[in-house]
Amino acid sequence: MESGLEDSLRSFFQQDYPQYELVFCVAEPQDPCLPVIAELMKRFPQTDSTLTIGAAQVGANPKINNLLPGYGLARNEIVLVSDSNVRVPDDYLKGLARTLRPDVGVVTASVAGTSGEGLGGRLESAYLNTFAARWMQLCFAIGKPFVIGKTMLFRKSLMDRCGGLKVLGRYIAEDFMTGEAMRQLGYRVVLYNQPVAQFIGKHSVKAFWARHVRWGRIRKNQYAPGFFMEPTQYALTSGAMGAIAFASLWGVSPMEFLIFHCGVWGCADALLIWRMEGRLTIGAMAAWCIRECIALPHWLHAVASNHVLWRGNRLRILEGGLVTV
Amino acid sequence: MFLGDFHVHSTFSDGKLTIPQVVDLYGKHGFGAIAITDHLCEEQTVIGKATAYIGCTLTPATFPIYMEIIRSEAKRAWDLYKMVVIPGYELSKNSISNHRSAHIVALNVTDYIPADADPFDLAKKVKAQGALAIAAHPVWTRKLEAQTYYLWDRRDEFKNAFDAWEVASGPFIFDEVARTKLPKIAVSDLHIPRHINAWKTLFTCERHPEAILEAIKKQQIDFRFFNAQQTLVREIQHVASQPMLPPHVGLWARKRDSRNVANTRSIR
Repeated sequence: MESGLEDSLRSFFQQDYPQYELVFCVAEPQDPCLPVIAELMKRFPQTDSTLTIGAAQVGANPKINNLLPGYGLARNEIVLVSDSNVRVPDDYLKGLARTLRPDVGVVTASVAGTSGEGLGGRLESAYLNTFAARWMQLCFAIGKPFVIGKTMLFRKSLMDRCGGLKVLGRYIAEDFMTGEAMRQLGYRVVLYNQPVAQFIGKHSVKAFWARHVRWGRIRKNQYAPGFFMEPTQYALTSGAMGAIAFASLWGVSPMEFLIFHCGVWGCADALLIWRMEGRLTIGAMAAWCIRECIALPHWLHAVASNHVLWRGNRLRILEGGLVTV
Repeated sequence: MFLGDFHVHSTFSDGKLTIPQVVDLYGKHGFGAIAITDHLCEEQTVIGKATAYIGCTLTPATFPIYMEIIRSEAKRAWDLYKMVVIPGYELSKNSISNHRSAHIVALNVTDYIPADADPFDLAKKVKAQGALAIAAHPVWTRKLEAQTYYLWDRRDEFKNAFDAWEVASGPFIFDEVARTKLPKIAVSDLHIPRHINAWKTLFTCERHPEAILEAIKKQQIDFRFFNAQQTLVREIQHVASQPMLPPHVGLWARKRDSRNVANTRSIR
């Protein structure tokens, strides 16, 4: 069960929005989150909410299989797909819906890792609050937007024009393909102006490593040019490249350059952490240092193979993000 | 009587318009049928891999969404413009040598076919799924681009393999093809909106995919040059001469077929 699940789910019951319905999609009847959902549904009877248990089998993507029964029951035109570990402010739906202008196909948001505990949790926060947030902003700035499935808002009618959620079941990154499909229909992918908080809690280093190797392999197969540019966004790799260039062109001491570069980079990332998480701690900066040191080996591990383990399934990612079990 | 264009690219390969934009462009000009035929390049060659890398070809990953969007747009095109939209692709075998390059337009496709096989086998695979195989721009295209002579070099061998050969592409007529008895078709090879000013195929059959494909097979077609600018001028003059009528496009949509045909020039 996700850390802080009850608080995360409760935030969706407390939305300041005139009329909305909540549809919870749970794949297994033994899922320990079921009593939590049932309790919340009882506590907030004024919120229209539904629970579906069971998964469809339309492809290898377990998230789409899980979502489909609930998606079919959704009665409204605008749909927000959100993971259960996302915690949102009261005006979240209102803000997202306001961003969904007529020319916009899908609204997504960057993810701020909050309350990471243990080394794994802090590394996860450091990853989300620095590299992931910066990379996402950069991609949107240079006109290569992509969608993060933690939270994505779209119109059902537009999704149906691309074949509905069902067609996305064959891809590992249904979020990325949602953005691509909307773009092919002529609609924009827009980034919401506030990050959405992902409650991280306790997390092992092994889980952190495995999760981001999986993400890396997905990105590699989904959009290789972007993935192979990623090391330029690591403090040490970009610093080493700069140090070599400055040393050979102007005779600057490589070590001095590297220290200066990492210092500036660290200050910029500290600001980013403060902006994303709302606070800056020594623990967060220590995790940032460790993450930067392991970033390149982590990336190389992602390069090494195309297999991922996701929700107990060993999947092989094919070019373009298609996936086979 | 209606005009059709069966070689059109979208943003799924190297076109500049999305599929809905293509549908609206042709629909507003009164066309009766179009086929979306994005490039589907080889997967095993360096050129094919590079094309996939820059996103200028259909891939096994993009194909399902491509087909879904064409399906939904076909419905919209029919409801809005009474225009038929046929799914297709252009199997593109590209080589440094013009004489080893071949493009095959497939119309009314259902399945993805890797373009790596021999052109003869590709044509057979296209037909096996009930689609039409057309030899695309088989001779010099009069443009500064790589040429695709492979099929034309072997036209005797391939004459029964294809349902039609492009006799005109864009604003150019291919005299070499026109002089033969090969079955023909005229298309625009549209990549950008102004490419709509091009040779087109004229049909007298029912507006139905099967009837249209049958007309191509049986060569119950004619060819016309379409000029969108002339159509626009006519429309403006027509409205200006009847100031009492509201400038409502729908009023003229009913007469659009005959008007477009009137604004064309024939090569037969």
